[in-house]
Amino acid sequence: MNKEWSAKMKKALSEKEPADLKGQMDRMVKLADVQFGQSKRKRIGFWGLLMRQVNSVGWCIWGMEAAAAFLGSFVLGSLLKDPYFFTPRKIAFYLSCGTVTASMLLLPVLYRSIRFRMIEVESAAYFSYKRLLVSRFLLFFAGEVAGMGVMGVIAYGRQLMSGSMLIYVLVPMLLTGEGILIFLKRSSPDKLCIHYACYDGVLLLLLCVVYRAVPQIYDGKYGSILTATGIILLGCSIRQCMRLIKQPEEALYV
Amino acid sequence: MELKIDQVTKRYKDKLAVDHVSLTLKPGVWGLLGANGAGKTTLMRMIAGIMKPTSGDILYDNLSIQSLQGEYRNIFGYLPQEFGFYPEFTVTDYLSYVAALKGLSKAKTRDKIDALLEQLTLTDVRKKKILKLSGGMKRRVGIAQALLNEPEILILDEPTSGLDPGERVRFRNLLSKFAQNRIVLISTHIVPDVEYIANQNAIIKEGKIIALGTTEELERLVENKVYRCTMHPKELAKQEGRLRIVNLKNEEDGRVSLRYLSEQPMTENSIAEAPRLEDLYLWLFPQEEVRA
Repeated sequence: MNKEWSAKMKKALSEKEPADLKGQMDRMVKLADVQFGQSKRKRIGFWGLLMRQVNSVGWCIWGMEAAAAFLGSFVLGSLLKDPYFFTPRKIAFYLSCGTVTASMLLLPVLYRSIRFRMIEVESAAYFSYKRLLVSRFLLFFAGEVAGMGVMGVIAYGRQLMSGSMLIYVLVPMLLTGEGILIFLKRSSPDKLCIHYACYDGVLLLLLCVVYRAVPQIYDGKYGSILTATGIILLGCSIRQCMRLIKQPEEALYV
Repeated sequence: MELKIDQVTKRYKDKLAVDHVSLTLKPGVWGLLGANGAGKTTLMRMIAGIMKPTSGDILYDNLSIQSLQGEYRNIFGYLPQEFGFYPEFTVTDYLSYVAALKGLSKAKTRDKIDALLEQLTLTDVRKKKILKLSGGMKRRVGIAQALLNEPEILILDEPTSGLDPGERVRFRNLLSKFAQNRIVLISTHIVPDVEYIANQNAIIKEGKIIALGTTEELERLVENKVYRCTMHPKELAKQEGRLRIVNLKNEEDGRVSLRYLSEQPMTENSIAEAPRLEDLYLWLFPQEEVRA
């Protein structure tokens, strides 16, 4: 039985007898009817949708991320050969900025539905538009984590940087992820990309300001604070994600 | 099964697009007729649940569709007026993608796609990229995606634009079969699309429903207002502006045959004609008529 519907039934049955009992009973019978109809129309869950998205758009997203990672590695590798750039502080700063910049690759993924006029068909489907975007975000995020892992292994293997540098990739990644989840919840579809692009721009600016004002942050001295921040961000992101997947959606055009 | 549109209004900043529309849709084919800008698409979007009304409510079996959410989307199919495709998609890719969005399992998707491609004569192009298809074929693919989840309510916004006459007839027949025990709502400004298959028609003008009924009931509204006459082309030039012409045809004898709308016959040789739904449409939307 659908958990949400079951909760509604329990709540309705535990309430005191209402003034309009017959009306209430009629509504409950209708709800039961709808639920019976739904059981005949069993649908795949969100994770089923996510798996099916892998074939339709997942490989495109990961291909794009792989290309960007390859380019990024090439640039970073060239920079690291120059002793001027080869300081841990600068590496940490460039990794942070690179992560935020790379997250902007999500923009064309989010904008696709509007660009190719698929948004109305997608919004009218069972899973609707926001859940679809969450699935694309999760695919993108999975690609980011995988790419980061590969780069980390290569860099660590070549002794280009220590493992603690990972935090300068993880925290910005989680910040951008949290940002997109907030905008997915609050922004209208046509403004989503602009809001996210501005958010990333502000983040980049913030990173530069921090680099100028408090460069010690990039020296690895505040690792525990950054780690704690990362854990909190991860928890918030997971919670935000689950809420977006479960909560009822507003109409596309309000 | 009943879809009730209850005093639904949609107001934009400077325009009232839909003005207190109330309709009760029961199983069968419903035509929503109106000129461009009448409010058809806005109303269709609200019924599809993708646009929120400013006021009023839309109820499916007395439950608000806003509260039903995914359960409502589960049982309806929607073909918007303007829709696109991702450029890399073939016909099968597109239908599989939409089937996943509609929550269909892989096995069901396969079976349903095969059946729909055959019904809509798209089997030969299933592996072709949609961008390379003709306009009519693209429209048929759009119709196919609306039918994937075997909807109980089918909302089609201008579904036949781009279809040739043969495709239109096939489409009408498909809908007629489909509409048994289902609600099918077709919005169009092409009257013949609904004239022969709609159980009921609603005519919308400036956001308001101005006429509602079966095709025969609506045709009676312009009874004794449709006339036919013939005249010399020179005389036609003089009548310009006076006659609301529905149809104009050059005869073999050099004269011109006119079908026109008027409260009274405007020429001596005018004969009253049996009205058609198109006549009512042109009576109510004079800007759509043929100019002499």
